[in-house]
Amino acid sequence: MNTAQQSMTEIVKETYQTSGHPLLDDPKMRVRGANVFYAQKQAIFDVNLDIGKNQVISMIGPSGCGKSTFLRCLNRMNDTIDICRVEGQLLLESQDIYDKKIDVVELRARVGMVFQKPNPFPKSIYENVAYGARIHGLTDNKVQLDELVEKSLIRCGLWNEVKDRLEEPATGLSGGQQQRLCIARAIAVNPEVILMDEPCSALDPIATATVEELIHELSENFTICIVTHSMQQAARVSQRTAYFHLGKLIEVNDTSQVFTNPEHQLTEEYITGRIG
Amino acid sequence: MTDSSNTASNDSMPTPVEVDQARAELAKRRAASLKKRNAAEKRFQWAGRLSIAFGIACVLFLFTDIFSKGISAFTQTYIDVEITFDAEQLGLTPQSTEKEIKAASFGSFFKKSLRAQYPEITERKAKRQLYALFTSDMPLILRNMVVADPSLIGTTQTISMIADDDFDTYYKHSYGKNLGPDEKISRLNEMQENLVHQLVRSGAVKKKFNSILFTNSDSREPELAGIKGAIMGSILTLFVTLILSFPIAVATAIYLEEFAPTNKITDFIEVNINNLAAVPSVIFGLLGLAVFINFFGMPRSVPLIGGFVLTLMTLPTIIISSRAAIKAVPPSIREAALGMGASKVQTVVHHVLPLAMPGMLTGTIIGMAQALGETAPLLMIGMVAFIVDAPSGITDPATVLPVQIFLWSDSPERAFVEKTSAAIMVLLTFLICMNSLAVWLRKRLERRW
Repeated sequence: MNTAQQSMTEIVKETYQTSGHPLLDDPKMRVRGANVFYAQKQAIFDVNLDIGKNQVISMIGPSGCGKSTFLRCLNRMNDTIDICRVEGQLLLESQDIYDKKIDVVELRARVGMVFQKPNPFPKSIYENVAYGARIHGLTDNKVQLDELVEKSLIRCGLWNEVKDRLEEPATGLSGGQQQRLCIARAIAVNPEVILMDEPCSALDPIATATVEELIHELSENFTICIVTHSMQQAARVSQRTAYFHLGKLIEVNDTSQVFTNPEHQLTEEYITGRIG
Repeated sequence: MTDSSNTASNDSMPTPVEVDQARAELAKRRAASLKKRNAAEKRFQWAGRLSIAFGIACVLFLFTDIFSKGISAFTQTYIDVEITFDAEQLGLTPQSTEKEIKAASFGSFFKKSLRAQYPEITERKAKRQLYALFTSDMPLILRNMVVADPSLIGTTQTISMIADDDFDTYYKHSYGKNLGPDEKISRLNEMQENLVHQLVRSGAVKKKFNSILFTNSDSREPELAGIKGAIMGSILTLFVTLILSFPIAVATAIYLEEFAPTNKITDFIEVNINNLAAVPSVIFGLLGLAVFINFFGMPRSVPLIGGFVLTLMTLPTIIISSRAAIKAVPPSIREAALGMGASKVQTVVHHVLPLAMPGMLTGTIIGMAQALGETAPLLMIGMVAFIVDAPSGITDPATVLPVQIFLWSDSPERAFVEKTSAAIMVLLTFLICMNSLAVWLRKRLERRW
């Protein structure tokens, strides 16, 4: 870190304090003092946030506020970007995920991800769901694998729609089905946390409703972090909401409170439509 | 207030009449510009059509020229001659061993048999001219027939004998045509021509499909020269090239695209790969000569070294097209795989490679087609030698199709002109097949995502 960045970070540390309740007791993931840089440009400033167990936390904020960048730090997807650098402490169950000893393959099996655009592999529906189990060696034989695929698809409400065409290419499914398939693919390896980066922004309202319902059901067993542009969606699916603004975590509170009685002025301006 | 009615600097709002006037003015301008635009578009389309027409005309001209010259090489003139395998004359019996047959003098036997057919030819020179109507290998061919089937001894057979190239050329191009002395393509003298006429009238002369072209290798006698050796040489050379260049190029492309960091070194490598693609092929030949033959002391004229040199030449082509194919794989697929916890190698092997494979194969086939037609570097490493036997392995001396074309085009005999064109036709057939295969593979393997 050069001196310019250092002083910048200092200023930010001095001048801003996240409103609301960013910290929890016994969280699933704990983020302390996270700073993210793209080359010289800082994208995330000193974020402190806890992500609660088996809860849905949504991250909202105007475009370019760093919410996706922050999300991608949580399973180190930012590693694939050469110029990206992450600082601070990010813990999964008290284990530093940026520790040198942590294998990123293992981490991503524990922290799964669903992307903005449905991105099934150009393989069969079955192969898509079975892929994670195959690479992580989760099943011993074909019977177990079949069972896992079926269970995952049932879980995502896709089984009845695809059970007769498991060998057909996944790319032939509709957008909403593809996204649910991607979720099925993610939960097939039974991760502890699922990160969702605007999972419904490429879907029509009906498909969106189905996926939201699915997220709601999954939150019983999974910790879910969802980035969304839709405040209604955040209000519908999440228990907690984090508002990001220009790389800073402005406010974290219970979703109901954020949307009815925001503490910070910027949050209020955003949810009432004055920024965005 | 005329032209300024549509500028923002206007103080007062224009009246409706003024707005209409201004719009009418603009409509006029639009109409004028539209005419110009349409004309420009038409001109552009016609320029495109003309260039395509020019290209097609060139290709058609080339093909017709080669075809019209080469088509006659696919037939060969044969002369039916009745031969009695006289046991006494040959000094053989049907029970003779192979060794005895091989030792027998078929040369004088052949000449005697011919003289028996034409008792009126007595002069020595005339006799020689009679023999010259047949290919000089005829005694050898007869001997091989007897070796294969000793029971022929003592029987009389009608043998289809291969005509000499002078006979063949005369019969194909000048016989029966009313040509002036300058137009006539013939190296036969009057006596020989009369003999030909006599033979044709007796029905002994036949044109058959020229299988010799495909079953023989190079020869000094045009009627016995074939391209089998050159085709074998080309296949072996391409085999070596493919085995080496495909894995090396794909590994390079994958490493550069998927694993290598972007820094000065990789930039430097990229620039150099692109430069290599533009290096004249003869330079690769010189490199092969200097490194493989002079420095490492490997044998010259062999497909192995030809393959090495052509590998160096095709590598940039395949690397560049493979990288393009890998780049074309959508990043979302990589993200999906990485997000599932696949390692970098698993992501590449499971997802990127299958999607990039059609493009890689297309590039490889195009590179191979380029290698198939390459001549200059092979001249440098001595694959230009006159080689009579077809190579049976990658370390046997060999030549390749384009070099064979080069050699034949340089030969003085008239008959090699049509052989050259025929060899070009075969080469073009191979090239067209390979390029069609590339198109078919791409269509076949291409997947939507």
